[in-house]
Amino acid sequence: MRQRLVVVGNGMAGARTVEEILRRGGAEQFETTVFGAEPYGNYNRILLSGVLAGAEDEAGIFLNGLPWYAENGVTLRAGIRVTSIDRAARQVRAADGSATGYDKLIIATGSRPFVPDIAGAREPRRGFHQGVFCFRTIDDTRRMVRYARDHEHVAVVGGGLLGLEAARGLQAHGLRVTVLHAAGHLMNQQLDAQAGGILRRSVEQLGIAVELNARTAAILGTDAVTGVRLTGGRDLPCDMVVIAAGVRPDVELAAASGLPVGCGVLVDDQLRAAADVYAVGECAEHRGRVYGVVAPLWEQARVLADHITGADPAAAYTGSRVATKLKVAGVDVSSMGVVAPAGDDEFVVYAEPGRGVYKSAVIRAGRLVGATLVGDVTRSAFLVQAFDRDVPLPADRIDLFFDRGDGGGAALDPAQLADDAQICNCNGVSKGTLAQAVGDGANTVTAVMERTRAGKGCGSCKSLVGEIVGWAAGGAATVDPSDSWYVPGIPLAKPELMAAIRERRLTSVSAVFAALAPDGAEDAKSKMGLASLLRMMWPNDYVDERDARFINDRVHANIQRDGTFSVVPQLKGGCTTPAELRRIADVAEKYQVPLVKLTGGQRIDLLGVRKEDLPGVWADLGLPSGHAYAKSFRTVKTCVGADFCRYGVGDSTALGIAIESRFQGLEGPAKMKLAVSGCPRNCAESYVKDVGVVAVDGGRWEIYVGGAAGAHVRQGDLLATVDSPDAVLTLTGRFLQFYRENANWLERTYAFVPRLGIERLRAVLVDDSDGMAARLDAAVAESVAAYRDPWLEGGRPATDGQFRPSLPLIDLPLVPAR
Amino acid sequence: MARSTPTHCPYCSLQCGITVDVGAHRPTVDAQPDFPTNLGGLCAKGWTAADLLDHPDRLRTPLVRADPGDRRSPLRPASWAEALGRVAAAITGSQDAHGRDSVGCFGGGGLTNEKAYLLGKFARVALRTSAIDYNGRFCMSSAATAANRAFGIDRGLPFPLADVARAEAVLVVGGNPAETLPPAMRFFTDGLAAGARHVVVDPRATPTARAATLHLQPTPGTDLALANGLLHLAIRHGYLDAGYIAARTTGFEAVRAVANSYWPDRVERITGVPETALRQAIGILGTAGSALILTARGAEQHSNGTDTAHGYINLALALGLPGRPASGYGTITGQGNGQGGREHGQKADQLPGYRKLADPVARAHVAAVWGIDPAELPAPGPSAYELLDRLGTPGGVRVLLVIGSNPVVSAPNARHVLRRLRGLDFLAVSDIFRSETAAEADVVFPTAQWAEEDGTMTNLEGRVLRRRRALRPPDGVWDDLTLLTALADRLGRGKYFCADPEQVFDELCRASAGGPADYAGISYPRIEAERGVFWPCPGPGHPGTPRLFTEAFGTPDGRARFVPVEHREPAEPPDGEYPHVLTTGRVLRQYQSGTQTRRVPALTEGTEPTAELHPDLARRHGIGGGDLIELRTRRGTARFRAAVTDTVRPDTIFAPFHWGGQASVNALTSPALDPKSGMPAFKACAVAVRRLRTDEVDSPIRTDEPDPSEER
Amino acid sequence: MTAQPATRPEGRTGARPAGAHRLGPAAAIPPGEGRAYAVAGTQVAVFRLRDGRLHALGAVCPHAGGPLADGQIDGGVLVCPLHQHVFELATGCSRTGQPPVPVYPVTVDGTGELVVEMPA
Repeated sequence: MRQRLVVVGNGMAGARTVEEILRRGGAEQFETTVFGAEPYGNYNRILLSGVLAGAEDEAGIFLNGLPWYAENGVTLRAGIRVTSIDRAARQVRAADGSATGYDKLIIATGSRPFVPDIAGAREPRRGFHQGVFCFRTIDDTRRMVRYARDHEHVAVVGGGLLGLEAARGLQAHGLRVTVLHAAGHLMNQQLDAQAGGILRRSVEQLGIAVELNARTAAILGTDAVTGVRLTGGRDLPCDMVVIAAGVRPDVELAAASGLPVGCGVLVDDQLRAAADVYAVGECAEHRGRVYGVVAPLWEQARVLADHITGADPAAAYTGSRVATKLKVAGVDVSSMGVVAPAGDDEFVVYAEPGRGVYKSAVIRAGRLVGATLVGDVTRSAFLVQAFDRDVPLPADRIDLFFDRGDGGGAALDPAQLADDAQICNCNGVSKGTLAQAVGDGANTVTAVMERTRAGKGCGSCKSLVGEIVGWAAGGAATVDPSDSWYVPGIPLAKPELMAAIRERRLTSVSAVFAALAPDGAEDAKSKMGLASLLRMMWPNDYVDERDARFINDRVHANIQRDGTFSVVPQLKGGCTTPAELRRIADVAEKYQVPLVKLTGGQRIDLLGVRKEDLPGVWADLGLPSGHAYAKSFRTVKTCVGADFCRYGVGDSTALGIAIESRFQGLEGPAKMKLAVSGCPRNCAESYVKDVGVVAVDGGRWEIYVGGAAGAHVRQGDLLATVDSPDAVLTLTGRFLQFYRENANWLERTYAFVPRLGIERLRAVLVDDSDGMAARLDAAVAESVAAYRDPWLEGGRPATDGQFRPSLPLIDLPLVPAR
Repeated sequence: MARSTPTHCPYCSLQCGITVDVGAHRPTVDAQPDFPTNLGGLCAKGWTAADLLDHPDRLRTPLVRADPGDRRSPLRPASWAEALGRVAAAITGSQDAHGRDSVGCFGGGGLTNEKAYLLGKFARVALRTSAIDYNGRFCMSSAATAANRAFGIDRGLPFPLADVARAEAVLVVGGNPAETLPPAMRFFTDGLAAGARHVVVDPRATPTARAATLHLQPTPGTDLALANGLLHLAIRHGYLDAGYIAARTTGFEAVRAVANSYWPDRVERITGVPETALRQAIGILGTAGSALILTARGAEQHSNGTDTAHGYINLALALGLPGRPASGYGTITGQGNGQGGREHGQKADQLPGYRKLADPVARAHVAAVWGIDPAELPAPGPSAYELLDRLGTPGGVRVLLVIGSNPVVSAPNARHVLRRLRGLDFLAVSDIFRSETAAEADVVFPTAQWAEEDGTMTNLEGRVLRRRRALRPPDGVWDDLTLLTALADRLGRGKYFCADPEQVFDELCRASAGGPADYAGISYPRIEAERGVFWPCPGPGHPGTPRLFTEAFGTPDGRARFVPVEHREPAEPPDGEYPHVLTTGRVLRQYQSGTQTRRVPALTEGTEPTAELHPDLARRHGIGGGDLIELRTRRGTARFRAAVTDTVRPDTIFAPFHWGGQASVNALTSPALDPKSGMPAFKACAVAVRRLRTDEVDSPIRTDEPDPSEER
Repeated sequence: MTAQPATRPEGRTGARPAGAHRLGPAAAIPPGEGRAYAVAGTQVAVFRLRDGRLHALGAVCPHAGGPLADGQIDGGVLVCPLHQHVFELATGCSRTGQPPVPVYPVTVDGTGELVVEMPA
């Protein structure tokens, strides 16, 4: 049969105690009734100043709303004041006339505001004088907010914590505020005079008037407040008064019930006031101390719960170390333990009144016994723990007040490092080993990393490895930040560069230099990359500046070692016709093309064409450009596919032609070579192409990306297996666009794909994990739509002398200059 | 002519893709250039992994005691027949005299899925004992318990590791990938390079923490208060995803009420993390378009580890992360097969496929696969530490079979565990080396190691991988599948067992079908073709599941659970006698109990067991760098070389757990268990420290055999 | 510009008559590009920067005979199209370890004609 537990007081101590009891399975042991003078659940009183200032809304400050009590089988008598305790009959009587029996009683009546003896503060029958308020409950707060609306000047009696909070809160409602403080400096409970002085300055700077040594004698005004009179006779006009002169334990009930009462209800280490009667929280006095902040209250609640439930019969409360940290009237204040030194105590002080900063610490026998921080409380975390847990203190006492960091960010100078200094922790590579590797001829960072395995673990030492290799190689092989830049002339990586370009709508290369290059300086080696990037970003609005193009792109042919050019007409999918072949043959003869060659991309290359002949060659060929000269979509190699091949399972030729027709000439960070094979025999070498497509049984197509068979050989990764040629076209376009947008300049797909990882690519392109597939498709479609065969320029040159020879030359007729 | 076999590193849960080249000379290891979890990277442990294969200390024949029954008599080589005979006799004898539960098994998170599965089956079908658990209990159990409750599924990372590089914000709590899974660090650094902001919570300024945008350095054991404090701020700053909370979760209001009482200055005082840092951290998480919250042992190995995991899951749910792209909550698994090892039935309360042993439906399904009567299946047994704590005591296990674990070093309160092991009637151990635990055994079986066996491992992402055999084990060395099968045979239950890895795996897949960790659609060929398959994969046509929770959670109603959790003081707060906090962990060049890594010269040369303490703490005790110090807790003492560094909190001492003997940090750690998961409080206990007088110093510290001060 | 009379050229092999030579309208060179001219048997590449400045250099890359007039330029340097060797427009000095190329004074006269000064 459960015992009857009655808790008088539903504040932060009472309700918390009930929570702790429930957490210890108290529901089985006790049938709990809680009396609360206020008609609410339990709320966080600390936040009331926020509510007063309008920074918090009431709902947000409740710790236990009304439903909580029901859910936990606790009877809450909210808004009902307990009037007396009949210890003989073991019951409490309440204002509503009810009597409630108890087996165990907990008194948690908390505190009540202390109202000094001020004439006119109260009116005979009406309680407080119209316009005079205390600041304790949510109702007080509401009343003040309401009254503040149509009043102008408030006098706050009391310059302690609560008074300053009230002052700041009411100021937020547009009132003029004067703080009347009886003592010689603000917050004299927690601060010494110097700190109090600094706080005063900060408070006054917020526009709050402060009067010290100001005792309030009387409140003036008959119906409503018209001012206050200070002892000494001076009057201060105002139309609202808040009395915040501190609190006193609410012991009325306990005293009336004959419980031992001093300043508060006297309790022992089990919070026991008498047999089966306990007191907890602000109303309790333990070993001569009364606590007014939350932490000790909750420590008491824990001990009382352990004791009363028997969870820990040995539980004992031995007192708390008191620390408070608050924003007082907008000024951060943190205070703990003793305020002033005694005897041989060390007293460390730092004061900077100009900035409103004050810090002091009291150290006794090497341990922190007190500290005060005003204005800058960043170190309170360390100090409060040192205070609570006796953490060893820094020998250099200044470190109590300032986190001077460890300078860990400081850059290391490779020359300074010892030879055996460990550079790569993962693989235990020392500076000496790295230098050795360089000495042995590894002259690039990558080579050194390969040889020593430095940077092959977590990779976080890469930059340091780079510096050391650079140092060892005499600067010949350093990794510098510019490695991450998209082009050497603009100090931005691709994402930032594209963002800046889009943001400022930079549509021409010169505009990019002007806006983004250091000193707006052009850079020859950056032009080509920027031109390609801009054309990708602005398919229609790109402002084409010919000088931004590399010569190949100016004349749409591939420059050769002797300054002549090679011409590769487009033969989609490597297919041609007798008529085309005839025309090609005629052109080769007519222009005395020194070499006619079949390319690896299944096309025909006319090498050694003179620049000035290019327009003629194109015209006579009557074929579009094959883009064999550009950083762009090149060719689609195909096998003979299904029509003729006895193994073919898919029409690779048709699909290859479709792909080439769609993406011809698409610019990119590097060239893109594709292939389509009609069966897994892979005659078109699809596995080693930037994008390679392979027909498999069931009319399905595998799409491989990131393959290469040049200086670097890599088998492509399977991006997806799809059901239709259309799906191949879509996914190919999506991949190419993603590559165009994200690859570094001149980064082929064989580097790009492993860098991002096929998983990532699959997620983005196939599963659309980032929801960008549609955008990619649209973007590539726009580029495709904007495509125009550059060889049409043969007819009407884009610039003067676009096709004028650069070497060798015949003299111009010499004309004398005047 | 060298053969190159693609397989995976034998160490941590990252299971880096490597190749083992076997030719004329010693086998060598290289990194697979583009395996998705290590991208060509390996750490010092991986690069030197081959050194274990032909290590001279390698056990090559079974060992038995010269005088049967007297474990003080020397171990001598024996035939397999003799060794198996002794074990079988001990088992039958004990079970006849003391009942089935007098025989127990202790497994490991490093075992392949096949071995873990077969060990569980061996216990339930051959021994029919309820006494089986494994060292993963000391590793993943807290996060696993929390994830199961909150999400209905426990997969360490419910997303591919690569997502780390894509998240705009990452919170890592009590994890140090830079030193525990170095190659994984690339995903973190890539993310940072791409502009992501990372927050690392760790009492030490680890390399991971130093690489992060923001480092929070809380008192060990206060991570839960920190989580609630962050949630408190998230609520105040309006970072909650109300739509997500409403649509995909239950139980938020209770959690909100709890969070209300974790205002910043209270949390600051509990954790020691400055309020400004708390606000920065929640700002980073709350404003990011995608965010990951990752916990690891530092947060989980406490007596409130499960609650702590819940705290961070609550935060993740409140921010609406799980199931979103590049977002969510995950725990960073530690042991090589810590994931698979906790899915297939070597846990006391569990059947294959992450089924509950107490669930009648699960019992029926698995019994059917095993061809036995469900009634024959034992009930759930005691968790790892409870099992070890009762060894040799009335009602406890009297005959123990240990496979792939070294509890003498790795269990909490290790000296006590050692005493308990010595109280056994009979101890059999299977290991590759003569580990501290093997040295205590009646019978020791030599076993094949990573490159000598076929099987599967499930990495920290839940990606099932193929461990491939690159060379044959030395003559006289069997693998554990063969051992268990032979033993079952001698116990008359041989017909239920088979030693072929692929057949065992296929049976495992059938047993797991329909369970939370469903492998039904996975097969060796598939894993090889697809370079790993993410579970759940319920059928051959199913692509596997790289990302969980995108649509629904694994709970009955498909919603995730908020669970209200409160900060509690650590089980053993510092006091006058033991004034500081001891926390433990791994160092880069060692692994777990060190059985392997301590035998690789390249990893150990010049390294002595070292404890880190702050200059201010060192000064208080007159300790200088390089001094020998003694750490003392209520359970025992251990000695370490002092490293004085300000990367650790001034109230905290860090010591690694890779050594035994005099440097056995687990002789100090607290066995206070998490009531929900059975996880011991490895990561925080009260400790005293003193500098050893020169007359007490007999350096170097002896780590080889158990501390001689231990009476036998 | 010196007003000394120019002499007739004596073919490509002939001596290099010093003095000023007209090369036609400056406007014939698109901004940011270069064009090549033969001046008294010497190959001269003239570049017109985007800001209007002019530079004249030897037109042949000393490395492998590359056509410098086809190179890309910025405010300070010229990059040969064949092997990306870099030369300073103002001095002709190479920044990639090649021998320098000659530079010639070049101006525009009242009629907008390019005038290049060949050395004695």
